[in-house]
Amino acid sequence: MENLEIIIKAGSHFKPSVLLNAETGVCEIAGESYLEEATQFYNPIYEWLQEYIKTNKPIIFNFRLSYVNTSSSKHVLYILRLLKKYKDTGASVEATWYIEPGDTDTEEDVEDYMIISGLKITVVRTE
Amino acid sequence: MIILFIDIKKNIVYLSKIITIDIFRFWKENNKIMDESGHVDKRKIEFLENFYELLSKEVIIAYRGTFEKSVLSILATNIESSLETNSILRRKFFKMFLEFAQNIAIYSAEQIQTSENEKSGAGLLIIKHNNGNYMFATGNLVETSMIDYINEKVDHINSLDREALRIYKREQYKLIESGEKSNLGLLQIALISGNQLIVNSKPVDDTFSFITISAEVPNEG
Repeated sequence: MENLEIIIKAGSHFKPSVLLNAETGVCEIAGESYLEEATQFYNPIYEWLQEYIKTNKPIIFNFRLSYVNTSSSKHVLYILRLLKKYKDTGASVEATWYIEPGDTDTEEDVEDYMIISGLKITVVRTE
Repeated sequence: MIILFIDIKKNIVYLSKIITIDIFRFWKENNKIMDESGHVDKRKIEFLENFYELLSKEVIIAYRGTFEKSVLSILATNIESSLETNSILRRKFFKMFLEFAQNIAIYSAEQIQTSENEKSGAGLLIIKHNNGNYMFATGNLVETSMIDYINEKVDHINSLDREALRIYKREQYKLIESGEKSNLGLLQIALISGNQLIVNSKPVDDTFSFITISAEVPNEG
């Protein structure tokens, strides 16, 4: 299968950059996600993941999202639930959320995502 | 109409042409800067300049209009560049701004066809200095029949402490996952600001009321 890459120009406040690597299993969503048409944006990501987990290969999912609006958060939760389901089958799943030090709002958000999805997310404070 | 006053560190007031014209027209009509022969009263011009200066010290952003993406992008960039303070406060500002903007875009009864062939709610957004902290305030029209519902929602949010707010938020997340409507916007504003929401409303005619919602962000930078 192919990689999925969505490149967003720097300074965009509305769409995150996405790189999902089918070879290494390293996936990243980075930036700010303020989307009214979030379904349109996140559906290809979700479909890619559904394909990827058929391979039973390990996955490392790195979130570098500092703002997730309401309609985007629904899709972040869908992704996390899918990763949890994959992990429950015995697959290797590592989810990490990179947070700017002091950004307690995002830290609380990640904690909430963890509680709701049941997936362990490692929080890393970036320098 | 776009009204945009940007200032914070340099005391610069940025005015779009439209608002400059608008304010002058307003003053001309109400304070007679010009007499009938077209003579300009210098004292009134000075007063107007002082008014701008005062405004520039207090107001960071004042905007009235729709909140579609192109506008949000300009405002967001201005918010980011006009704050020299630490990046955490800047991030809080950005989040507060987007939550308030979304609230107006979705819930304002004044829905306007935008240039992008989409509809967006119109309203007023002001960010200003307030006793060393920052005050975010919005105003927009809503149907008067909605006021009780909004007040009830806000009273509930204001009655909860942070931990209870977060539990409530997780319940709301579950609602949106199943495609239902949520109260996340106002809830997020309460969480991000760490303060109570202040709501006021006043009927403007038989059907609509003007509602203002505000919250203060502490300057902890």
